[in-house]
Amino acid sequence: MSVENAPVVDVDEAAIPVEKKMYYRFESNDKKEFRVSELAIQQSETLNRLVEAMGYTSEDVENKPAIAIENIDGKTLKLVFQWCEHHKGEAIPVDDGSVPKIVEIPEFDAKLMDIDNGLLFKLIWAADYLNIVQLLNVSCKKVANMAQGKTPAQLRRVYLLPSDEEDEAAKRAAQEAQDPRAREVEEEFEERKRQGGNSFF
Amino acid sequence: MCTENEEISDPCQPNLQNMPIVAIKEVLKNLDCRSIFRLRKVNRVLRYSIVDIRPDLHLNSVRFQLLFTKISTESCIEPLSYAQISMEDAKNLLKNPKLILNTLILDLRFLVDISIEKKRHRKEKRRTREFLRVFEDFIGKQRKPSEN
Repeated sequence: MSVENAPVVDVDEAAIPVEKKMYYRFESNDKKEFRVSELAIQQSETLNRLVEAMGYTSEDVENKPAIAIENIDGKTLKLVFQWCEHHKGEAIPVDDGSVPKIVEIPEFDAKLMDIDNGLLFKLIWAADYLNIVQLLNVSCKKVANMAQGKTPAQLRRVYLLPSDEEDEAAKRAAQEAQDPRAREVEEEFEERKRQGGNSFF
Repeated sequence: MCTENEEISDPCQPNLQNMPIVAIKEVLKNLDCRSIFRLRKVNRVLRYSIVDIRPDLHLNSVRFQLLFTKISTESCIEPLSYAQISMEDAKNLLKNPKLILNTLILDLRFLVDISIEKKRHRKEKRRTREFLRVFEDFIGKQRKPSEN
């Protein structure tokens, strides 16, 4: 996709400073382009190392294609970069090993994560993939908070988890899709068992 | 479950059990002991993940109370009786290698609680006997590991 036609998403227009700072361009796997400040990128260890290794100048950023992030979609990446812009310049926290872990969810983060659970899990995936420590901390804290006082059945709904029966049915379906004969063999086996046969083979 | 090195491009469904192991560990760090044990009962995949991770429970005292609530009995391991499920929880808790206890208490006070109606009392007494039998068996095995 050409730079002219790219749907540029300005993450935080108001935050663009007067002095000239470098803004990197990133592209999600669904071809959405984002401009992110150098300082915001520092929240992500993965992206920070990447841009350091690339050694782009301001001209390179404008003239070369946007840096592709193949594994993350635009909706998720937008949340990630909004979070990075808001928390730019903040120190990266170090795990002190305390359990239960003490994590406060700031108001901005709480609003940002007021999303459906599927998107929240994608955000966690992205935070882990891009190695954004504090985003991983707050998103996992939110997921943990969702478990408070829930029964196993409620947890299954909240965390979008299949029951053992659903899981087995899905595995069977996948197996059948790969080998249509598997179902016939299983039915034949069940039939023989019903008839009292001890040996199938 | 997706492994630590697996990338997001894996076509996993976005749910808790398909999260990278680092993320599941983070979630578990934010949960108390009860929530972790409830999470173990959600399904087999998650239970195996939690068994592998062996989350640090940071307990120094454990009290087993025989309370019969819906939450404590609901499980994916349905064929098991209440006593068996309780005992599985107790075993899993006590088997955790990171667990160092100062005290272990088995609270039997409700056995002499005369406020419970007779019918319910009989039913719970039967369940309690079953629980105690399994608990005694477990403690006995812990004392004599060579006999296992």
